[in-house]
Amino acid sequence: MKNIIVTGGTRGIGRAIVNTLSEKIRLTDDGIHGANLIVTYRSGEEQAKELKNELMHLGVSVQVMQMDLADTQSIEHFVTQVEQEYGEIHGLINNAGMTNDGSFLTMSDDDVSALLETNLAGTMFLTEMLVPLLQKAGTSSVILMASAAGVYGKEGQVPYATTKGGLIGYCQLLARRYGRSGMYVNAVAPGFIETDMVTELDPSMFEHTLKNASIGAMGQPNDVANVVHNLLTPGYIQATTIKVDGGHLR
Amino acid sequence: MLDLIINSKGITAESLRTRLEASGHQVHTLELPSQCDDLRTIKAHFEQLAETGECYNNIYLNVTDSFSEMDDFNQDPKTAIHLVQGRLKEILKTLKYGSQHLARAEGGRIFVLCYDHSMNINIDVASNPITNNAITAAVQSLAKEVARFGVAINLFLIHPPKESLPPKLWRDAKHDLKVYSMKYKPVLAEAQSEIMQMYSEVSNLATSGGVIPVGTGIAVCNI
Repeated sequence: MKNIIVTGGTRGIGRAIVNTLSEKIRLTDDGIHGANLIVTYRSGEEQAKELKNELMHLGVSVQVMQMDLADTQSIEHFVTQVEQEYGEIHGLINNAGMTNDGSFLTMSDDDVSALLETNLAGTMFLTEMLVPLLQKAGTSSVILMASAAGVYGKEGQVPYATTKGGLIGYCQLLARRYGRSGMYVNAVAPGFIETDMVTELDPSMFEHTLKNASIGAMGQPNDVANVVHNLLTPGYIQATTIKVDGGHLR
Repeated sequence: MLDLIINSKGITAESLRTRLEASGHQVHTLELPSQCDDLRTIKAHFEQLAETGECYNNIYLNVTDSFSEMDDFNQDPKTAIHLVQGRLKEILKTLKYGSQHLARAEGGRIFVLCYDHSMNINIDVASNPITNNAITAAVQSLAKEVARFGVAINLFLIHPPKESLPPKLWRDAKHDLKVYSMKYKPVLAEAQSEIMQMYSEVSNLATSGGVIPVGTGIAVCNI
């Protein structure tokens, strides 16, 4: 039985990933059929309970656990629980993260630090803590949620883009370290995806970007979720970053 | 021209300094306390210069100094993460205060110097993919924000210069690459500095947010 972790799985793209995986888990011919899902959230206990009830009602084996990427003790506690309950991990989807947009020149150093702490350091710390459990599984897949901003930059998102670029680099580093011992590591870089986080933005922030994309419209969370599902059994895809951005030609 | 080289130690930075000074540039240097969380140094440095009424034309941020993320992570991931975090904080603050300084002076240029991390596949050199990719994204993003102030920001992705490694390593790497049409040819630090100097002196620099490869024989980050 496979065990798959999705961090930040109660909202936005994370929720879409959880929904897609729970569908696939119920398909007898899918590579993750029958897998146990372990979903984390930082805040929003009510939402977490609803998600758990919903998935259990569908017959999916799921645990929904609180974890804060900015708090190393919280990460350590989570990993201990996972180790005791599951022993090994076959899939780790590092989706959780935060954003803080604005002019970099006037952004406080504390805000910049918070982004680095959560998006980059927290994600790397969780992954490193889970490496022994991923190796125990024999073959495993680690997926890092980067961003199109981390691939080609985005004004108003300097520190956010920095953390996402860092994750793309970490994907390469992790693949170099463990690629020959059965660990697949890849990243996904979404562009503008129709989630609460994006729809709350002023349209002037993204309209010009959408116009430049080949498709010319926002993506849906499911577009990202489908790519993530495929990367759980990546075949010959390794250490790469797949853009899900509607086709920016750069 | 008044230039600043931040982290001026190492073959690449020292060669650049020599080159700039020989061309008549006045060069200041500043050593950042590596991995230090207290980074008031960089802000204070720019403020101090501004008080004298002077401002820099070019700021070079050298990130080629001796660290290797790959080694750090293999030794102790927890410490490695702390080091990456400290380094990126330092770099982002430098870019922020450097951009503010240049914006107040109605323009200028920032160049970040990194070693190409994919070289590690062929040659036993430091590999820093996290820092390199993070800075690349920062440079590409910030360039778009500060272009209106006349500030240009670019990144030089440099192959380690010829002098930095024993000749045997170059020969072995070249031998391994013999199936490719483009063979690797190590370049002297002096030649690399010439390119970097050129970018600082072009009268209307029409490149910003760019990753400029400095090296021959291997495509950038072609693993």
